[in-house]
Amino acid sequence: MRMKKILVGFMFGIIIFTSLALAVNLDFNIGVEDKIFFPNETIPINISIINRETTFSARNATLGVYIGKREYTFELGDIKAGDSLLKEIILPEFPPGDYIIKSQLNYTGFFDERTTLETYNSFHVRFPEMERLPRNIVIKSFSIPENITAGETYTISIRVSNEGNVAGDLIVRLSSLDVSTSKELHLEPGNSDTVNLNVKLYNPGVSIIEARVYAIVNSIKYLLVYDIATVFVRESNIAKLSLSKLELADEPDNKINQNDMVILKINILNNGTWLASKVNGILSSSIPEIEIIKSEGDFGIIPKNGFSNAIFEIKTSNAKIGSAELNLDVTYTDGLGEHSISIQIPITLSEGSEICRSNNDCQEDQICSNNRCVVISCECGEIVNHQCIKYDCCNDLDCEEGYICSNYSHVCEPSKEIKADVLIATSSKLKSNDDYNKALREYRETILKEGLTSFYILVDSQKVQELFNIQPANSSDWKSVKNVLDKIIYKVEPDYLLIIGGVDIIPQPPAKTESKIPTIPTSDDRYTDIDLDGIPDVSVGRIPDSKDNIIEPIIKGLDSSIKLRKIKIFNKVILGDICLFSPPLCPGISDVNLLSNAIFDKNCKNNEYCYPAPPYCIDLKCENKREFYNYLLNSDIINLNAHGSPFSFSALAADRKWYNVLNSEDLYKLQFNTNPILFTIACHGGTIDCEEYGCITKRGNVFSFLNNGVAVYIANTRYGYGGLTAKYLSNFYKNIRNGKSIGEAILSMKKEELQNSYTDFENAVIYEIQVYGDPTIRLIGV
Amino acid sequence: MQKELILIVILTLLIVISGCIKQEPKSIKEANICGDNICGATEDCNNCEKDCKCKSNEYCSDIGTCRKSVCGDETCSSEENITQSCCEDCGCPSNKICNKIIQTCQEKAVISEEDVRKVANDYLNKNNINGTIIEIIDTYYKNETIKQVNIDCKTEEIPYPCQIILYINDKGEIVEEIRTV
Repeated sequence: MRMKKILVGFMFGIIIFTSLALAVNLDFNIGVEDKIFFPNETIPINISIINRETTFSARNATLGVYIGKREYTFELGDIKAGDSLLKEIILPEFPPGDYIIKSQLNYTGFFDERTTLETYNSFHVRFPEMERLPRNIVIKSFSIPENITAGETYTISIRVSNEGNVAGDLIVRLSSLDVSTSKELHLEPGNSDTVNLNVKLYNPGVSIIEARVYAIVNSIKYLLVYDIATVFVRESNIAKLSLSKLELADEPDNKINQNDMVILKINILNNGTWLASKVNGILSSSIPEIEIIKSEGDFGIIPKNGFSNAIFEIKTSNAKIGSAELNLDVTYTDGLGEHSISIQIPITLSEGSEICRSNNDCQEDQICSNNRCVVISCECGEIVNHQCIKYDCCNDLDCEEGYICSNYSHVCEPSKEIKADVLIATSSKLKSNDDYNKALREYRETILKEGLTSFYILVDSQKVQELFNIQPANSSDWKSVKNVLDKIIYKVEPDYLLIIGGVDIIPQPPAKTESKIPTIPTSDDRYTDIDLDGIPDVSVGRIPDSKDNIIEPIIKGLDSSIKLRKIKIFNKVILGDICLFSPPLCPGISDVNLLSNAIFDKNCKNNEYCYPAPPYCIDLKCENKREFYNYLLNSDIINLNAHGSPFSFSALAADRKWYNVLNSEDLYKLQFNTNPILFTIACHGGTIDCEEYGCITKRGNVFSFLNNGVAVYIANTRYGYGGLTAKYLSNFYKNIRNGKSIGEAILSMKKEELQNSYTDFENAVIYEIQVYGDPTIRLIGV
Repeated sequence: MQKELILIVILTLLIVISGCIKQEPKSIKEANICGDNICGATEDCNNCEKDCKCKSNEYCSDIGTCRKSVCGDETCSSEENITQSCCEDCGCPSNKICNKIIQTCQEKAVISEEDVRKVANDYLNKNNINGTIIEIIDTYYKNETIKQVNIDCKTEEIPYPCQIILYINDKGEIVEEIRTV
């Protein structure tokens, strides 16, 4: 037990010692000039606080100065270790008398303990030596209403009595933080009078009101007496702030436009019963297209039933037309203290840009056009002083072939290696024009967006030598062309070869076969059989022009391939001769069913999209001519099965009469409303060379289809064969449905069929199937 | 003297600095440097073997591409000649035909032209087809040799081509018939 007491005592001792040891060592003094003051003088006093600690701060220090009835409090904050604080305080006049100044310093120490230091001093105020100065003026009463409500007017009465021998001209003054008001008064000796002063007190809470009586002698005020009353000012009503109005400054059209810089003058109304002071607003926007340029505004004081405004600035950039809201976070002080509220600022965004007179009225990236600020289109450049300074290049397509556009310098730089997904080959014989160049550029940009880079080359140009170190081709000789293409394909490693031009531009080579159907078929597969094993290695398509050197089918073909890419839902149809030769036996029905199953998963008979010719054909004898046109011209995927020539398609009916499914004249005039893929098993449907029918004119199937809107046309260069061609095309279509591009689907089918072929004749039938159009198209969702 | 010295120092510095600045190539040819381990566009196995060396089973072609010797490349390589593994490139004696499926020279199908014509005409009669035998070709069908009969079935009423192909084996059997569309 005794031991325990000792231990507790020891611990207590340690705490006391530590407290003392860690108490902040402060020097605290108050100084006042050693002189006699007069009642017309203010009293300067000097407070000196020195923190002699090297580590500890005196935190949250407050200073209290007490002289008679008067009290003054000051917040000093933290006095850091080693810091000194010298403060001069000017006290008001005092009536004659001796005064002790009591100063109290309160602060928080190391252990969060509150410590008080006191220091004292004194001064003396005496009457000046003048006879006319009344000396015994007394405040007899100083009555203040008990209930004072902030902001309201009250009358305060002060009764003053002259108990001396000298009459006096007096001033009776009321002073507080809120108010300072006074009245003059003359009092003869022995007289008393009451002065009533109307005051309004605004600061809620405890307020000190001082009544002072001065004597005026020779225009100098001498304080004779004072009295102090403490009142509690009740809070009255609160300030109620709301949006008064929104004005647009310096806006010629008085509108906030889609692209605009607008100075907003926001007016806030106080319809509460109390003034709002320290009113500040921060404007913000949740709309990305509206940027707040100047977000802070000072509204100052907004009196009751008054309003004030502040200036803000916003910038709109392609903002959506219509109504929008900005948010103004407002902080203010009223009778209840500090508050924060949000005020919605509704704005209306108008079309276009602000009215302007010159470019200088517009933003940097705009020009003034027809008094409107219009955003400068500058996708490939930098805007400097309202002008688009074009870069040398923005993508590789802006550069000469073999050069690439630097992402940093926007300058074309030579490429070390040349690689591309699509090799586009033609020769200098092609009569290109601006429309062609534009269409080609658009096509290349389109496939680039799909991730396919392209490389364009004229096989007979010096560029071939420059870029690939091989002699330019003789573009009339397919072997010479193949030699050049072999080298380019070897270096560029494309997945696709797109040949631009007919047989006059780039010859269509004989297929690698000895079988004549009825002559050795032509096939562009020869160009893409890089390893010479008889199996093509790269997908190939050709967009040809006709013998007439009319380039329109090429331009249209490129354009159609862009448009077909935009189709998401495909209208499919099977048209043409269903029986193929011998109704009613219809030996060809098995071929058509094969295709119908590949496309629709059902036989033609049960297929509502399988329309036989007749009656669905264009011949005068055809009963459903109009419907035929409707299906032909409005479908996206068309399988046309008929007997064919390079210029027409026909059907043999049960009456052993021939019906034109499509003749040359109609073919030439057709205008497709879609940009379909069309494939046919017809003989010579895809002939473009000159061997069997002479050179094919613009009225040929291939050129007419491409010129009239078909994006891709797949057909035979020689005879099509029952059993074989339909099988190959149905397998091609299955590949399309499996997500392969048109070129991939044909290539994959050909590779498989060539490897499984029984005869050289079959090879010929496989090779002769040609893709006229863009092989890179991928039809998703067929 | 001092001025000359300063000038020399400045000039020397300029030369050193200009040597340090990387000169960007201005043409494709300049960008393709033989020996940088990149087989550039203008480089190939003929003009820059360092960067574009062919694999051990390849050879450098005339146009500078690395190729493998492939049956069908129209070149009878010594290996193909010795092993007789590619009749397509190396050819066959005149009394034999090249079966490209098995790349072997095979004896022609043993059936007389008269018998072949008889089989073909029987086929036309049976199917009520007006056709003319255009030619009989010795060819192959799968692993065997066969006779291919090309028949023109075009008539006056048919404005479009008509061809029938019959494959007849040495037993006089039609193993496949193919008809134009």
